Parts: sequence; C-alpha cells; structure tokens
Amino acid sequence: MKSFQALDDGLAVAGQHRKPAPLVRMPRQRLRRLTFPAVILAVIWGVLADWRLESWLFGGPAVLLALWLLTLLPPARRWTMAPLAALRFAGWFAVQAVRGAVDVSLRAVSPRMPLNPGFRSWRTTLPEGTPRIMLANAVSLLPGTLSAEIEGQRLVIHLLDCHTDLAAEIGRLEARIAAVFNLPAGKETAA
Amino acid sequence: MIALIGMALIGAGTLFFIAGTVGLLRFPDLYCQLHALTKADGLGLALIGLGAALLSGSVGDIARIALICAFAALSGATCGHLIARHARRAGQEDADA
Repeated sequence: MKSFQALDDGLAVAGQHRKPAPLVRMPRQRLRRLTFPAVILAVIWGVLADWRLESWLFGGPAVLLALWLLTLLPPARRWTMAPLAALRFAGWFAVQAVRGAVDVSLRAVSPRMPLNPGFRSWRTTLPEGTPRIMLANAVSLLPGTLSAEIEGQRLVIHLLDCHTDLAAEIGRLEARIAAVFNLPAGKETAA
Repeated sequence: MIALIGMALIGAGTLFFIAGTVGLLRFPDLYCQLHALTKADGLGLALIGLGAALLSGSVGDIARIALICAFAALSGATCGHLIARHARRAGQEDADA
C-alpha cells in the first residue's frame, strides 16, 4: 500500500497528474486475494489439458477471465470447514445421489409412472452464502426433490411426490451441511 | 477382471442415461423432466467416468475424469435450479413450453 502511494506521489511530482492504470491502483490485499484462486484455476486447467504447453494459449486467457469475473463478485465470507464432517457428508451424499437417480429412473421407466408432483416451501436455518448454496445444489440431487428458487431463507422445492417427508429429508441434509461448516445444528446463525 | 468391472460400470451408466432420456420424454412437465435430467444423467456420467477410469489406469486420466464428473455434477444441479427458477418466474402459462 505504501509503495503504491509513493508511486502516486512520484507521478504527481513529475507533473503528470493523470489517473494511473487500474492495475497499479489495485490494492495489494486484493491482489493477494486472487493468488489462491489463480493457483487453483491454473492447476485445474493444467490437469484438464495434461500440462501441454500450447494449451495455455487458451488456458491462460481463460484463467485471467475467470479471475476478472471473481473481482466483480462481492467478497465471500470465509467459512471454516470440518474435514471429517466434510468427508462424512461426501460419503452420505454419494449414497443419496445414487438413491435419487435410481428413484427417478424407476419412475421414468415404470409403465404406471408414479408421479404426484408439486411445490413445497422450506425455511432454511443455514446462513447465507456457501452453506445455503450448497443446500440448494444438494437438494436437487436428493431423491425426489429439486430446488426451484431461493429467496432469502425460503427455499422453494419441487417434489416428484408431494407426500415426501420434507422435514426428514431436508432436515437431515441441513444438519449435515451445518456440521461441515462447524455451525450449530438447527439454530439460526447470523450471517 | 478390472476391465470387466469397468465395462459393466459403463454399461450401467448408459442405462441411467437411457432412463433419464425416457423421463425427459415421458414426464408431464418441465420440473419433473429436470428431476430426470439432473439426477439420472448425473449418476450415468459418474458411472461411465468410474468405468473409464478403471479401464485407463493412468493418474492423469483419472484426475481429468474426476474433475469432469465433479464439474458436470455442479453445473447440472445449478443449471437445473436456474431453469426451474426461470420457468417459475416466466409464469404458469408457459411453464410447460
């Protein structure tokens, strides 16, 4: 921060009081915030393209574009994750996703096609941000549920069978997501 | 043996893709069709990826397959949500378009 200030002063002294380029103006903190995503994105591209040198002709601009988009988003709150709970969630979720796929496939190929679709609303106790996004995405892969809208705390869920016990299915999911982010289960958490 | 398991997984994945497509064609409205696409096709891709990973065996290939499956699952769930939201906001009259 200090060195940038010095640079500005230097420009002013030289009598060229024009606006410096945005990159120079970018606070160092913001640059540091982009370092980690830059490394992650570069590694993802590298793995996808087998680390071929010529692939960076496309990968380089793509990574830069993604980083620029990231600067347009509001800074996300940092969440602490419990690794063990995350692992347990991944295992449980994989089983649920298989259950969900088998359920919808059987409905699709069954001659009777048992469907009783409808919308239901669910009030989530998870705080805004990553936990709520994770809930909405996970709901769509659970058996018979699809997240259709999030408005604040309210989640609109489409059900293949509107007699599904929402409280049991989503409640369990919420508790597991809360555990992943070290949140007190079933309680309102201020964002 | 491993090759056999790999091929069986790819076969099972194909079955889920077929079931997802049957759902897309048979289900009565857009929301039910989205259920079929996000869930059945997601598992279909995961099974085919698992089978392909077993058949290939190289670390680079396995990492690539894992990344592709993870991104497909993420974008599938997000796109399903966005399509459903758009349909709801567009109103009931053209929800089944």
